[in-house]
Amino acid sequence: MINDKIFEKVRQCVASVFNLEKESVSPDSSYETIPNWDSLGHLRLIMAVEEAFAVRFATEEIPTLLNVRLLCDTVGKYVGIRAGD
Amino acid sequence: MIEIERLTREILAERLQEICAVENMAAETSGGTYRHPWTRGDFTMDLPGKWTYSRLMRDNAKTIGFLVMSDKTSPAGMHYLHAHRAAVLKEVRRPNLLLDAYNDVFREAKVDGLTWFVTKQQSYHPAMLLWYIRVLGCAVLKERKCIEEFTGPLSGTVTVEADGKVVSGAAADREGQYFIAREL
Repeated sequence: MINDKIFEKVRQCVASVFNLEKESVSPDSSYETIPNWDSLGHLRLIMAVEEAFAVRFATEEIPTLLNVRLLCDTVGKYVGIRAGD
Repeated sequence: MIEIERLTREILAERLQEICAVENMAAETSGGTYRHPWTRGDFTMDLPGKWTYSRLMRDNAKTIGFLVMSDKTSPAGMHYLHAHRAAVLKEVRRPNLLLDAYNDVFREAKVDGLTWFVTKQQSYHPAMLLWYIRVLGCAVLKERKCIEEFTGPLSGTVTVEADGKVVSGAAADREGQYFIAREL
């Protein structure tokens, strides 16, 4: 289960970076389901999420954040919010 | 199935046409950031370590990307790994493919006793520069002379943080290139 507030903001970032309708982005959306989620697209998304939450992911984390659920969970870890908060 | 393999001279000869096609497609889809696509002559030229440290990326039989590297020695005597060219077809849905290719080369180079990766990146392609910094973990050398004086530990030469648009604390050279490095 992912935190709703985080999901909404991450969803907004994904929609904006990849030029999608926000409603089409789900927790299971990933590089496999979103066209243009290539290496530079991934980096643009990471930068957008970092800016939205004022966090900075570690270099070794960046390649692992390949779906919306993982992004939300990792942001939650940084901002100290758990699912359901 | 996507695989990364060593780009030997023989494999290059076999796949040269496809590799040039990937290069040209990368140039066409780069939005003008890829200014000097390599020709057949650039790809076939011999360089030290090139046939050991270059990689081909393929999806079953189809060539989908490449990474051309060599080992170099700086005037200061530092032996390091250098990237010349890298491209992946835009339609390839695997964001870490280039990173995996680099890591594959880094592992091999480290076993061979190389300790540093040093390369240059054009300032007109900030997204790729940022990729080197944030994803590959590189830092930017302050100025071109750093590469000539390069001896390993970067004390005092690397100060850079990317802010998403520009690199601060470093200057591109007259050709608009940044020099970047990381320890293997």
